[in-house]
Amino acid sequence: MKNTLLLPRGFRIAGLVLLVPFLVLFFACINGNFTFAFLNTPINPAHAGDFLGGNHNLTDELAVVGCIASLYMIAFSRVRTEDEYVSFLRLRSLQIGVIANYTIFVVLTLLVYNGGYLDVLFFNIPTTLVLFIIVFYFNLHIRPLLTKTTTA
Amino acid sequence: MKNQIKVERARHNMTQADLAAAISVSRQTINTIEAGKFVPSTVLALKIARVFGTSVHEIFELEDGD
Repeated sequence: MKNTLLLPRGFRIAGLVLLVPFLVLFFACINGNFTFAFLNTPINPAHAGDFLGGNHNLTDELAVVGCIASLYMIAFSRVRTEDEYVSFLRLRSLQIGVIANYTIFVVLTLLVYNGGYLDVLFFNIPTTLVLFIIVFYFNLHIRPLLTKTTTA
Repeated sequence: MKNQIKVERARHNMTQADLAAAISVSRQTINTIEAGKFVPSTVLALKIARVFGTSVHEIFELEDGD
């Protein structure tokens, strides 16, 4: 079955390799206020209002875009044999990922208030992809190992 | 939906891997079809029937709930 929306197979490894440094950069940004000096950029004075201040650094943007791109590469690259069962698994895993994501989101909406809710909104952005990756690769690689079946 | 893939494989002395290679799918796909966890498309069902030299009706059979 042809699925033209998928990336070539090598992107999965590239995504895994890229995800680690971008995750480290992301947590360094939000926890330690780490920035790369060369990513300092002047901003248009018209937009230099309450949000951005006078100077702006693009390190956190780089980290977020890098994490999302890496997760996308892991999630939507071809597997060795891309057949209709894999397409079925992709669809089901995406459905489970979306349902789980919104369940978590609704629960946190009811439980978290004030400034903390901004964190909920922020961390909710990549969780659909993360949940999809977990469910898809669990069903594809780990579940067959857990259910012993005869092959002959 | 019931299927006779395991019986036909035994009759043709084929492993799941052999059948998977013959119709260009993964062995896991054959495994899930045999176990009734995954219902194949018409194209795949026809390919399986062609490998065994029989008709789709001989391999796949509807159950009462279907």
